[in-house]
Order: sequence, then structure tokens, then C-alpha cells
Amino acid sequence: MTKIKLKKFVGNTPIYIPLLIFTLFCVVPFVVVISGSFSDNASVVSNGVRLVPQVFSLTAYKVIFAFFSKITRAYGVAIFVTVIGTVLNLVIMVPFAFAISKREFTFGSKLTFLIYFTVMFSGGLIPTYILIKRYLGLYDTVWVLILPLLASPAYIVLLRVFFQSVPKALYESAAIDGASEFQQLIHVGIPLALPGIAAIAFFSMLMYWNDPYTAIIYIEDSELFPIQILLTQMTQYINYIKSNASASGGLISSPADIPTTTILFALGIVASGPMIFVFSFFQKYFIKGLTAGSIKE
Amino acid sequence: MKKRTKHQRKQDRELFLLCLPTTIKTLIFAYIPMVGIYMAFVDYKPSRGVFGSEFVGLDNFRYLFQSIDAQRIFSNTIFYNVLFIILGTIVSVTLALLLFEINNKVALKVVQTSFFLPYFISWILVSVILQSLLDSTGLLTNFIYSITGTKISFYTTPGYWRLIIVLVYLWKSAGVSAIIFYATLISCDKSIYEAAEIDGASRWQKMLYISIPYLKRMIIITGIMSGANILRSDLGLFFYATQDIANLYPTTDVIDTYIWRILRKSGEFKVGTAVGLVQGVVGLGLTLLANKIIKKVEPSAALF
Repeated sequence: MTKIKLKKFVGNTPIYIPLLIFTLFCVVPFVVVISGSFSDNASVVSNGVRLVPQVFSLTAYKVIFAFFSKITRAYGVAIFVTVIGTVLNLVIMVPFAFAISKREFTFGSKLTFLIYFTVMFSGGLIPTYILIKRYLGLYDTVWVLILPLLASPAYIVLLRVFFQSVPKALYESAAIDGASEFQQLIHVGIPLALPGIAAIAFFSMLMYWNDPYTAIIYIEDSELFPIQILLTQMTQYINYIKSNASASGGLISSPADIPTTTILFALGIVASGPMIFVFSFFQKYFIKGLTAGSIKE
Repeated sequence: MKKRTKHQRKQDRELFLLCLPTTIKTLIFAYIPMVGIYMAFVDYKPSRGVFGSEFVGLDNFRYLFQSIDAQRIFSNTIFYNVLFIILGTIVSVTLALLLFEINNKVALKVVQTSFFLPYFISWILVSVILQSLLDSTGLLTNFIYSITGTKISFYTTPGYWRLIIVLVYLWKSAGVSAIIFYATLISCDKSIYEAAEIDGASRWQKMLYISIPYLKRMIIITGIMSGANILRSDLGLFFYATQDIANLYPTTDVIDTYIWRILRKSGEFKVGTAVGLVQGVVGLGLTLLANKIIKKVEPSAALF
């Protein structure tokens, strides 16, 4: 009996070893960040980060806490953009995807093409920039972080797949009862496509939360920086302090109260933590959403 | 075409109303900028506006293709995208096939969740992680030092970045695509495997003759679709992960970072628009071509 088990185990090693290696490849950087954020700065600077903190310290988090008002402000902007953006996104994309999923809709294929064409061809970054800055008046407002990212074609295509899987007979019987298209969407379409909508909601939250470009291009007012941009700015500032400290041959030491290296890790945790937390709620839907694209239409 | 009935007209009207917000958003933010492409053909002066500036024909394109940057950004962009398609497919399909062999539920869950982790991380955090591994006191730098006795300066040596960029790309995306391929595999009819087992097929034979052919359709589609994006790159990977260090440009500068720099620093908007147009036209042409090829190879998978 044990011999068979052992044989099976040995036979499985070609399966487990590559998977183990890639799993570690995915996870180790996270361990490094977490360990780094709880390490003493001096030990990290001289010996580098270890997988387990060499000298445990909470200084990095304490320093971040000193910038509390700045960080809560940036969190506030990011949460506003993520929540309002995702709600708006669903409010406009869900009805669209529902409508184009209906075969009877005369303009369905034309509207689908209108959306899909923007994936293949676009005016590019610079004409978009000029439009937003000179003509739409969105420059340096919180709305520029939300509006341009709405109604992404990839999400619409995924949502359409979910609506296509709703049995047609259900819509028909609702229509016989006198339900308008809007009522069919609310009472039949949305409840049945809910797992798909949840997956898209998660994608959308992730997109808004992690968006590193929009604010850099269109926002000057530091009060409107979302958390990712605050992280970028602090990273650049800290790298600047570090490089100046070493260029001067140690004459200008980095300010002792700023743990230049470990604070970056702590900021990374602060900026990414919420999405990992949200993911734990959405994981089930998320996997469904990812696989929806591969379902044959 | 049949004449639409009264009922159909009502239905069309209602459905069209539901489409209106997304349609308006798309017209404003995606179609109006297409008009701005005209800028690629004028000597753009902000004070005179796009349509008040002097028409110069193809001068901006000539300027672009004669610059030293052009060869670098085009060859880097194509080089990385080709590598990404080949390696990305090999790695993620292999991982999916291996995942498919795991029966232990707990192990499967742990591995899946780990594969997802990098996908949730913003590029800014990726750049922080890379710095902690590669800078002068980085984990990897120290590790190499302890073995070989030489201290590698990653942030000043462009040569290493070809490998680093490919590894970061795989780290960020191969796990998720492996899960997508795996999810497709699960949907495969189990009885085929059972029949093969009865005929005495080994595990490797099942992989080779059932699983891989089953994934073929998806591999072809994703491969061809990424091929159509051969001139586009993820700005996050090439701008944030490399920290936009000019020393590294020989191996890290791509078309999108070039446009990004024009937008943020040098201000040669007309050249930036011209590059963008090249990207757009090539993208459009390749997508249409890709669709044609897919129609021939795997008609059911064609996009339109």
C-alpha cells in the first residue's frame, strides 16, 4: 500500500515542482514587501531585505502615520474615484450590454461595431489629451479620473457574453406580461447575469484603484492625487533624498527620522492592501469573469 | 429587409435608449480624438490650434523615421511583443496543464490564489518591489554578490533589462492566463479522458493528444489577437517598472513610452500624434488580417 502511495508521489514530482517554483515566484516578492515594511531601516540599508525581518520595527508605519492627513486625503480621492467610477460604469455598461445581446435589436450589430472599432483604432494619447484639456474643461478636476475610463469595450464584450447566456424564453414571457425592455433588464436580465456583473464590478474597481496614468497627465492639484500617485511622488522624493545623500559622500545623511527604504514597502502595503481585501470577497466571481471570455458564444 | 412592425419599432426605441449613455461617452472620448489625427499632418502650434496650423503633409512622419529614436522604439516594441506572445503562451499553457493534474483541493486553491496575486498589484508597487530586489543593497544583488563576489549594478546596465522585463511580464500576467486556460480545460468533456484511460493512455499522452488539442482554439485566438497589438505596450511595465531611467532606454524604450515622454516633457505633439497614427493604422490592419486568418483556421472563433 505504502509502496503504491510512494510511487504515486514520486510520479507526481514533475507536476508539483514546476508549480511550486512558479507559486514561489509569485509569492516571494510579496513576502519581501511585507517583511521589508516591518524591518528596521538601518538593517535593510546595510544588509538588504530578508524574508523575515532581521530587526523588527514599526518605524515605517509610524512615519506614514505622521503624513496621516495627506494619506487619508489621497485615500479619500481614490475611494471616491473607485466607487463612483464603478457605479457609473455599471449603470451605463450593463444596459448597453443587455441591449446588444438581444438578437432582435435592429441596431445591435452596428452599435457593437461602434464600440469594438475603438479597440482596433484610436486617435491616440495626444489628441485625447488636447480634447480633455482644451475643449472639455476636465483638466485638474476629479471627473477626469472617472469619465475617460468609463465603458471599456473589453468589459462590455464580457458583459454581453453573460447576458447572452440568459434563456430567451424568460424575456419573452416577461414581454407577454407587458414588461418594457427596461423592466426586462431590471427584473430578468440583471438578476440572472449577476455573477458576471459582480466580476465586471471587481475589474472596474481594480482598474480605477490601480490607474497610474490618468492623474499624472491631467491632475496638478495635489489635493486631488489618488493614493497611487501619492505613492509615486513619495517614491521619487525618497529616491531623490537617497541619491543626494550618497552623491555627497555621506556629507548629507538622509534625514534620520525618514526610514527611506522601509517606508516604500509600507506605502506599497497601504496602497495595495484594500484591493487584496476586496479580492477575498470577489474571488469566486472574479474567476467566473475571467473564464467568461473563453465560453463559446 | 423586412419592414419593422410597430412592436419592433417600440422595442428598438427602448433598447436604443438603454445604449445611449455608453454611445455618447464613446463618441466623445474615442471618436472625437480621431479627428485630432489631422494634427499628424500639420506643423502644430498651440496658439493657432489644430486646424489653424500649417498643413505639412508627411513631414512629421519623415522627421519621425529619420530620428535615432525611431529604430530603437520600433525594434524594442516588436522584440518584446514577440517574446511575450511566445513565452507567455508556453508558460501559461504549461502551468494550466500541470494545474489540471492536481486533484488535491487545498493545494489547488493555494496555487490559484498565488497565481492571482501579482495581477492585483499596481505598477507602482511593482517598481518598489523591483527596486528592493535590484538596487545596490537589493535582495538579488546581495545574493549574487555572496555567490560570485561581484556587485551587479542593474539600474545602470541596459543589457540585463531584456531578461528583467520578460520576467516581470511573466510574473504579472502568466498566472492569470494560466488560470484562464485551466478554466477552459475543466470545461472539456471528462468522458474523453476516461475512454483514453481505458485504452491505457499515460498521463503525458492524455496531455499531448487531448488537452493540448482542446486548448488549440484558444491559443490561436489569444496569440493572433496579441499579434495585432504588436506595436502597443503596457506603459506600466516599460515606464514604472524601469523607473524611466534614461540609461536603460536602449533596451527599455518602446513606442508608448516615447509618446508618453512627448506628452509630459518635450512637447513635440505633432510627432507624437504621427507615431500614434502609425500604431493605430498597423493595429487596425493587423486586426483585420488576424480576423481573416482566424476565419480560415478556426471559423467559429472569428471576431466579426
